[in-house]
Amino acid sequence: MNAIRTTILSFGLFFALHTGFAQYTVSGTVTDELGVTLPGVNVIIKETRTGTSTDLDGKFKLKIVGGTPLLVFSGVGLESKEIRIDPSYASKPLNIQLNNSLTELNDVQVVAESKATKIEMKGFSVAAIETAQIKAQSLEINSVLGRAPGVRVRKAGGIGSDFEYTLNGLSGNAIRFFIDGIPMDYYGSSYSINNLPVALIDRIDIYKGVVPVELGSDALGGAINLVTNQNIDNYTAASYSYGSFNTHQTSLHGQWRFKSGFTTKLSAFYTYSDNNYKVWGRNVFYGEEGTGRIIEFTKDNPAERFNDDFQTVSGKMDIGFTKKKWADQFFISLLASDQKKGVQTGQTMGHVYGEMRNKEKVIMPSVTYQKKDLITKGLNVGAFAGYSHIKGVTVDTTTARYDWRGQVIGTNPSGGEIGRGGSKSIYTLKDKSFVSRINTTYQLPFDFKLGFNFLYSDTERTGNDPFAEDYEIPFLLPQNVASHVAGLSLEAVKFEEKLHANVFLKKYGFTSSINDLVYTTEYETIVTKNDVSNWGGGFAASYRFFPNFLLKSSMEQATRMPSATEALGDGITIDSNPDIQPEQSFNINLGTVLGRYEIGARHGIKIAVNGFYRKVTDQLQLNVSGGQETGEFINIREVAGTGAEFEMIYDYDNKLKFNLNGTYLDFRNNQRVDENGRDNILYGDRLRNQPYFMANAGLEYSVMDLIQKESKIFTYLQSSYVHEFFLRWPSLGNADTKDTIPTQLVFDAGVGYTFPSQKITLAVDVSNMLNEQVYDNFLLQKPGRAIFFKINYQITQ
Amino acid sequence: MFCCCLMATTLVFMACSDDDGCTETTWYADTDNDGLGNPASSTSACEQPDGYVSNSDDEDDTVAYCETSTWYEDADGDGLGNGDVSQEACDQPDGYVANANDEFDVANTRYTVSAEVDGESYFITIDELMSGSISIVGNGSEGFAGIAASTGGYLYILNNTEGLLDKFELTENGPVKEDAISLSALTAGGFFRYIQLDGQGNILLLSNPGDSGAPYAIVDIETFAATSSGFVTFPTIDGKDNLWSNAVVQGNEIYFGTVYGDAATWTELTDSLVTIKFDYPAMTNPVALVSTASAGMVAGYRTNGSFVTENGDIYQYNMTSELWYEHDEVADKPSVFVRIKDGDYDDYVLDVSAEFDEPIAIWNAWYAGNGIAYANVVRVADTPEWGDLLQNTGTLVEINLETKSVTELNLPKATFRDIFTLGLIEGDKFYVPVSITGGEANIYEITIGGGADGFTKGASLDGSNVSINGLFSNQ
Repeated sequence: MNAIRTTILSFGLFFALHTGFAQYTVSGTVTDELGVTLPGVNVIIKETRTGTSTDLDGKFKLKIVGGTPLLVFSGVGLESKEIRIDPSYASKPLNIQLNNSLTELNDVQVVAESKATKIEMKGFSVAAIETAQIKAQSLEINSVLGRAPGVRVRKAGGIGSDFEYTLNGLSGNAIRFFIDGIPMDYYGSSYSINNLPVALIDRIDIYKGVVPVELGSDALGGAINLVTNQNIDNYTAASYSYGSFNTHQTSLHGQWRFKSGFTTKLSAFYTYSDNNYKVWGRNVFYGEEGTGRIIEFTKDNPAERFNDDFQTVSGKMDIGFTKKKWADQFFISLLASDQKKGVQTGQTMGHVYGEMRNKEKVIMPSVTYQKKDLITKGLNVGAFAGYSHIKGVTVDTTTARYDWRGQVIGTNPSGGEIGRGGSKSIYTLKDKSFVSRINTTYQLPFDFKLGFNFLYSDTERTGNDPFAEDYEIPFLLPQNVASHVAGLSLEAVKFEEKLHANVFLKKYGFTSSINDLVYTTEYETIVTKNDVSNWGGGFAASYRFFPNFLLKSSMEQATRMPSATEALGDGITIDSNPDIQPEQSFNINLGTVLGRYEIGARHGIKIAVNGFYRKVTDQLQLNVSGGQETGEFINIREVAGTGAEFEMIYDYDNKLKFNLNGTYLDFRNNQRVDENGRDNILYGDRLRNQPYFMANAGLEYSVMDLIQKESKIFTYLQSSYVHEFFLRWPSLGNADTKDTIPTQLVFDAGVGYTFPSQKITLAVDVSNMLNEQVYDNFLLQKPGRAIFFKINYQITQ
Repeated sequence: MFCCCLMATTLVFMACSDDDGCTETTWYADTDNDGLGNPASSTSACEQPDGYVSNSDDEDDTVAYCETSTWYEDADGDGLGNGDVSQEACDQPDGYVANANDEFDVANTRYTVSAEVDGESYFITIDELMSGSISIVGNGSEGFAGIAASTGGYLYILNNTEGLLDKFELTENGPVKEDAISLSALTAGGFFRYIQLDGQGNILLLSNPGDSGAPYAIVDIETFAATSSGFVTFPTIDGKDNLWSNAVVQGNEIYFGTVYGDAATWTELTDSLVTIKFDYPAMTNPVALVSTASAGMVAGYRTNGSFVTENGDIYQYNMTSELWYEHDEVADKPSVFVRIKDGDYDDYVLDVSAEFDEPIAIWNAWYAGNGIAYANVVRVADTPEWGDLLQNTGTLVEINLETKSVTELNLPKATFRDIFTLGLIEGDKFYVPVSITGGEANIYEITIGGGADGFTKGASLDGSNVSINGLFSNQ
């Protein structure tokens, strides 16, 4: 904290000494050929190389010290334009139209504030990742996000495996995922952040702790919003990748717009992997014939995963109109996906399954509408409505039993591998959800903007299992959960865009109707109804003291309702907890962005430092105890913590970029006295099973014209470090024998070559180069070294 | 004295000289008939008198001479003697063996306590039960050890989380994992609920029956290797199947306490108590033993429903509550103790319900020795739901199996539901954890047969939401 204080003080002093005078101001809007506003376009005074860039609505304002300078408008993928201005322009807004271009303007690109930077300026604690550079690589979105400061993605295994996000210390269901502002919960597990090809995504916004109202949800730890291509240019792109563990990935996406405005979009992808990577060590064993004594597999003689195959195919088709008088965008969409996967292990690798499988099918029709200046100027409206039908099936019918040799070691007539001697099971869970969202903004005078967002969702869940007795089937009778989140925000951009401020209010509502078969004197249906509502609110603000110095702060009081699984259990390994309470958190972020500072003509450096505070009451956590492999969600009464993240980006000559970030969390059990009035021996203990120190370093290097003129080579080397942490409360038990999730240091690298035509890119990626044995979760080993080759074919019309 | 002896010698001399031709010799008394004479008791005669011998080698003529050896205590029944506790005897005393090979005598390892603290499981080895506090802050091991067995300086834990039977060496720095057996290599499915020492050098693992019978495995302690495993197949009785079981071993037989009924619905429970006897360790030749004293389950649930007393009798208690079956078919049947003597039920019945003026149920019971058992009794009115057993609704009663007296101990009301193992008996003391829900957990020392107030409060367990689910003697 001292370092931060010193920094703030010294910059404050610098600000006091700074004086400036303005002769006149020009402002305007930048659009493309089709009239679509362009954010992130550089507006540079050519003589001085200083300037600004357009905001999210394509608008800019620029102070001119005097004279008649030449303004240069430029941006990635756009032909630049120069306009000579004079003081007369102070009274007339400029309307600049830029044409699309295939070549990039390298000279000014570094100066540009990207759209990501623009979002980071809005006051929220947000990291925005632009995917342009890495789209051609074989990278999962999860691993791209895992490199961002404050983010940790914990995966249970290889491609398609279960995952959990931690954002600045909060994790699990406290983090919500969106695609273009729509909650992804309803899209199924195929069309999810776990599977979507990075090529379909233009930008990823990571909101930490404080979530803007347009992402309407009861996220209290943060939100991740995937933003797809919002341009309306025609294009088609396809890619195919092949690599380790017999992994095939193909994707096809495109957009076709006709002069009439009729537009179709398609995005489809297919992924298959055997996921047959090698595992060894604790929990990876088989029993010696006869004696049962364990024989552990070793690094030199590892076991191979044999029931972990993963296959997903997903397609989304949008048909509609763009750029019409009555709608900027109107689409009717259909999403269909199918996913099949083997289930290799239980909660640790100690339990091996040889035939158990999960399947999921999703059908989701939806309608999207967007219009700027609807009815009256300044009123922008977006609406979405969708219906999703998700059918998940868990097949566990085999009587065979397997060990890590992949062999059948016996049969159990009761059947079922996870059934633990219970019975066979084909458990089908059907989710039918309706989700709708309306989002409006209205531009008020004096640079104020009003925003309103309303999200409503209703889910009905039914379960069935032909092998089980009625009373043993979770969700045999329909259960309903409905929730709504309404948000109102007031946004202001003041003092020549130096100040961004946003205050907001949210109302959460949650109703559930749960039918349970309960035995009293005979089986009868008991309906449990729950109706909860809650208010929350907060603010986000940033102030740019100098072009190279931004301070920002945000705060939110948020609530999260227990999910169906948290309240009801899953009927298999998680028991219900009727006493469960909603989780609440109070989040504060304080951050500063320094830079980019130019050092000489070619070097630049940018530093961001964020500090945060979280206080969570009734945090929901899965608690497994009793050695019986079942658990229940419980409320941890009080958890509080602070943390800090640091990020530094150094660039050289617009070719080389070095990125270093680190996150440290100090989250502790904050309950002095337990609910029975006894001293809590865990008071002050660091939270269990939570990574608390992680760091990433990455190097990217781009070279033009290396082998062929107009060609481009992109290379990266990435390393990520996560410090060891304890599975259980750190203070309890002998530290030497405690279960840990060990330290991991992983290196990834890749290279991509784009041919002069700009149509074909070839890429090679190597993950976990040193073939380290790594774990994100207790005794669930992740893949070792893997190599992937990818070809991308891009047709831009 | 000298004078006296002189006179005696003179008399003998005189007797000899006053002879009619025979030669008198001295004969020594041999009252214990071991062929050795008492030098302090002799007579002179020409012929050997009855009860006299010619030698005077007996140091103690009241006890017949035998070749004595040193015998070493084998308190844990593993066939290995403790070199620190021995006695000399001609014949092998009960509980003693001839070898002193049990070298386990390490500090901080006398007892193992398995506990739950704030929802997580730990176990810790300690030497002191009766004073201070037991703290797992910086001490002890992670993991659930409530279902475990301790012998010969090793703790064997049924670790269903990882599918293992873990073998821990008990060192002064705490338990150290030494080896493990894969449960799934023993039986398909690899899940066991119960572990016990069979008294014949083996660890016996058991679980409740499924479609293929009840899984079992026999692990030789010395080699730490399974010698036999598979499924016990129970006979069908009157079209009904065995729904649950646990067993005790006695000699070359094993007795499975059961509950018979319709497997799919857990209804139509048999209107009697049923035990199935098999040959051990072969697990063959099932014989059904039936008692009509009551109905319900004699398998036990958390702890074993049967125990063997010093004279080889097997006693059982029955569980009748609807909370366990979710059916009230046998809820009105009394909670009893019954006995298997010489291989079958005899007419012994101790009606515990009759001692209470309201409906009760027995959830757990433990044998403490000397014909005394302790039973966890709950009043049905206090426990409308299974979860209420985790409230402070349990009491402990002392049961004298011989006199059939039932005495409720004046212990604090607590939960005894989740006690999996109680194996700590030393001399005339029996140790039980009293875990008060929402309060403290303490170890209590109970004087076996000491009546309603025959107990002393011992060490307490540090922390919140604490409970103790297993107590082991590692001696």
